[in-house]
Amino acid sequence: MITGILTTLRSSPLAHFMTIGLIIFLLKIFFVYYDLINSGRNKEPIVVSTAQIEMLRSDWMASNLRPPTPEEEQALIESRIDDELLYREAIRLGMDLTSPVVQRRLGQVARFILGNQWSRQEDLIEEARKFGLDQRDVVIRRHLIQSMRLLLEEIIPEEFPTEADIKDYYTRNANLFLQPMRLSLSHVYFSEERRGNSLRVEASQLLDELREEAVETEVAPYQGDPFVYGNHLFKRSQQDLARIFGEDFAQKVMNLETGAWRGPIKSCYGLHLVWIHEQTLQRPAPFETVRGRVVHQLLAEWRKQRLETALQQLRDVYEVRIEQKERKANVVLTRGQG
Amino acid sequence: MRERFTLTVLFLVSVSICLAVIYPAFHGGNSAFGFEQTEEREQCDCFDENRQPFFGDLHVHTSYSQDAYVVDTRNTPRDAYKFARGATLMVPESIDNPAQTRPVTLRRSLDFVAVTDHAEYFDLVQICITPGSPGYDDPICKRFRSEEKVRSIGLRGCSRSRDRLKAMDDLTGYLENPPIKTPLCDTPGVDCEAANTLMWKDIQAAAEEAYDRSKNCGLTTFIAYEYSSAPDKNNLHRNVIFRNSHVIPDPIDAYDTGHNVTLLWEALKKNCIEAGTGCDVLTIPHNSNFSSGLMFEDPADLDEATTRQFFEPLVEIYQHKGCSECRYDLRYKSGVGTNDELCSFEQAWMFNLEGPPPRGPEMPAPDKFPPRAFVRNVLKDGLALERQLGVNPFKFGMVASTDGHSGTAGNTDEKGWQGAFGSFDASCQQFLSGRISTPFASYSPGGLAVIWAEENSRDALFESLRRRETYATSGTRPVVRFFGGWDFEENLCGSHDFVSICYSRGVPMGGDLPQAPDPSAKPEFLVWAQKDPGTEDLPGTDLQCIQIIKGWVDMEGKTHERVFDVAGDRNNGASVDPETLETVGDGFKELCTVWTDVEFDPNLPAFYYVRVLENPTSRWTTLQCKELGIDVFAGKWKRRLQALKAGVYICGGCKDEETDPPLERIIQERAWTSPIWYRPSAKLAEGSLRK
Repeated sequence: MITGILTTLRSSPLAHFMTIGLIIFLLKIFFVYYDLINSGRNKEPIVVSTAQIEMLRSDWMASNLRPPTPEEEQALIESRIDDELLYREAIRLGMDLTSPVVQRRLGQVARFILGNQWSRQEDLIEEARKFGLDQRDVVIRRHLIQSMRLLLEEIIPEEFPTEADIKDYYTRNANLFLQPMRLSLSHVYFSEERRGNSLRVEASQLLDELREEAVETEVAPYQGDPFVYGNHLFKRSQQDLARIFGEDFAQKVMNLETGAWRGPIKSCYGLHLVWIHEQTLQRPAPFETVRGRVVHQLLAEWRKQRLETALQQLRDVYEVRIEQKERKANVVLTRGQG
Repeated sequence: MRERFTLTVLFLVSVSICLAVIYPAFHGGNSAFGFEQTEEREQCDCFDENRQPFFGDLHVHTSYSQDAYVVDTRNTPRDAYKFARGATLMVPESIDNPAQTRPVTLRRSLDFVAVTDHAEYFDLVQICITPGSPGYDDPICKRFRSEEKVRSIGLRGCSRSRDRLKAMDDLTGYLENPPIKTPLCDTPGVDCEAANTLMWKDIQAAAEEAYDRSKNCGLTTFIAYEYSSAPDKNNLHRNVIFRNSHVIPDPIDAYDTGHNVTLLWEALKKNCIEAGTGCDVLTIPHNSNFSSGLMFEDPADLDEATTRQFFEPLVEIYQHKGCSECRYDLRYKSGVGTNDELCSFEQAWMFNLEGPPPRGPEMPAPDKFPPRAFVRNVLKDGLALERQLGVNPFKFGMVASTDGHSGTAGNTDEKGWQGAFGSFDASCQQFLSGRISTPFASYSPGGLAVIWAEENSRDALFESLRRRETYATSGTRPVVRFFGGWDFEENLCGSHDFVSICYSRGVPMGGDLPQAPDPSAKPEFLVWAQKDPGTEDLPGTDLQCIQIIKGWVDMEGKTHERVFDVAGDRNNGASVDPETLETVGDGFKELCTVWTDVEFDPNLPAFYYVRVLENPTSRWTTLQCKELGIDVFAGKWKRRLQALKAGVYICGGCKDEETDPPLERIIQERAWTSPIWYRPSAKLAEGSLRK
């Protein structure tokens, strides 16, 4: 049977092609795997040492002035691992050899440490690398991490969200793009300072007249007192109205129906007869008015996802070890009442 | 046929209306808006051509300021903007425990904010708060972060406050004359220029992110910084506020200018105004009360006067570190160029940034204060200088702000105040027990800037700042309109259209009276004040009275001032109940009057500004003392204080209760409007750099 197959292989050109193809395929798999091994497992595992964890904690405490919670500490460690993954990937891709920023920085550092004995920048940098200066410099490290991060999360123009993606995102996240409820109103104002005790009677009388004679909102305010913000207010939110008339007034007015004289409603300053012209309920802002913001947020979300996926893949390649040790109870900042 | 004609006309009309509406939006015209548009954004829903008051804070610091970070503030510019919109921020617990544990929330959100961190230390802060950056582990940074001391030695109380103050001094080379850059920048590998730029970019990004460009117009942010020149600790600080996102590549700071403010304006002129990038900018000086009178010196020449008037249309008259309007000392019964007793309001115990002046027998008398430390005197001198130079170098409108160093913008309510300087003024208990060796008890929550504008957008607000249509409040939110003209009817207060009448026949606050129609005419002023409505938790206080303050210069060049009570009642009997600490007695919900200056002399230059007083309320110290069980109104309160101040001598703080300047127990919150100026000759040129 085996002989039969061999005979076929020898005689059929198609089989030749297939065999060659198979060999190339296997080789490719091998190289890719080799590449992976080379880049990851074969090399040092990523170790987060207790000393490093202590360092993370102390940096954190310097800026937050309290020890991190266990969750916060975990997040610090994770981000430390992410940084290391990004750094190693950047080195693997040779970013440190091509980046002009790194070259310049390396030149600076080398000149400071090794002196001015090299006339050619290239030699200087070469020498710097020999001494491993490139691996010790935090600025270079930070730059490489940042560049790698940008590379991984990049969305090229061809991949930009389509109009459908954008609309979809807008619909799914309607609560992010809301317009507050707004009112347009006219009011007739009865000033407590000007009218004193007769205030309520006068306001009620006028309310009856306005209703009976269907007085127009343009004219009606002239029958009351002038108000410092004017008698016609357009498209105000409840918060706006609270700041003009007081919180009580604003709350009452928001629930009034449109197209009728209502009141009298009390404000900090006196009484008001109110006509609501229109009321726009809290609702999603029209798509066109917020499209820019939608795209911005959607892209930000995509970038985040993309970076997370890439980092996850890298974690499968590298071995990650976190040194846990029995830690004593958190060292708490000294505190006391006196 | 006829129908078709009508349709055509209708069509044409609607097209032209549409064009009229759309045109300015696309072409930056200023016809429909009343202000020039320099940025792309939607018109606000609440647009009002009669203008409306917007309340905000043009001076607040965050952890990006070295002096804020050193006192344990950790809120960033982004936090400050969130806070302005109503979010809760945490501030440090106390000088003993810098953990961020005390929540602070505004009762009412703000309309606009400018975060103004000290530019002189952008690099140091950036480097010292970024783990891993070269320089991060430098001893200077460690000192800055208060690291080893808090953690290992456990520095507390007095010692820690002293250490922090010392750290501030050690780091504060910009106060030297000439200013000295931090030695951190000399450390190999440390790139201060890059750090400086990074910080400035981040500040810009934070302001851009928080600016609401939608038609909701929820918050306007200004890209800004504080220029902090202070030769020999005499405060010459200015806040540099940019109109839009076209700003200068790097902030111009005291290292660029030395202690010469005119160089700041020159650089801004070159790098912003004349850069052709769409950049526009103004500078707002503050705390002339700490300047030893050096903030407003005579200009060298006409050019300097013009430049100054262009760049400094406003002054911050009141903030956390006291009031700079004027000074009156109730103990000596005299003031600095004034007899106005209401000038005793919120006087900080400082001459300059050096620290409290000597107390006891060496306590300086009022006449030891230089007149130009106070804005009213400066305004008067401006009139005299205008007569000599032809341009008034000191033509200031009024704003107030907080100058808070905790990132808590606009946090101005006395009730429940949580301090404004990180862990230093965390609580009354702290200063009463003498842990803090600085005059923080004489400081206050600070005030607000109020801008009359069509809408809450950068362009609208900035143009109002430029034309001084602004007023300052001591933290509450009364509404004040102020117009001047020559033919206001007496019953204008009863007119529903008073605003449009006043705009068409007169000028608003911040303006110049038009030429008098005839030599015998007297200027008339309409003032309308409405009390702050407050909130449910903290209702507004009634108004007590409206005053107009007139300053003028006579033919001999001597300056004068006079305070007129024009509405309300200074002696309305309102006071604070010593038991409940609440205000008792009624005031006014609103006040309006048309006032004529019958003493007016058309030959003498003059200015008029309004001061609105609220009924008396309790100062924050009074409220906090009560929470500690101390009744500041009772006879024995001093002894109780003495007992609480057991630790005083250790800190070298408040030495002698009897001779310390008395803290006000009751205050009258107030508003100050920008002045309206009268100039006798039309020949006097308006200072302007624009062609």
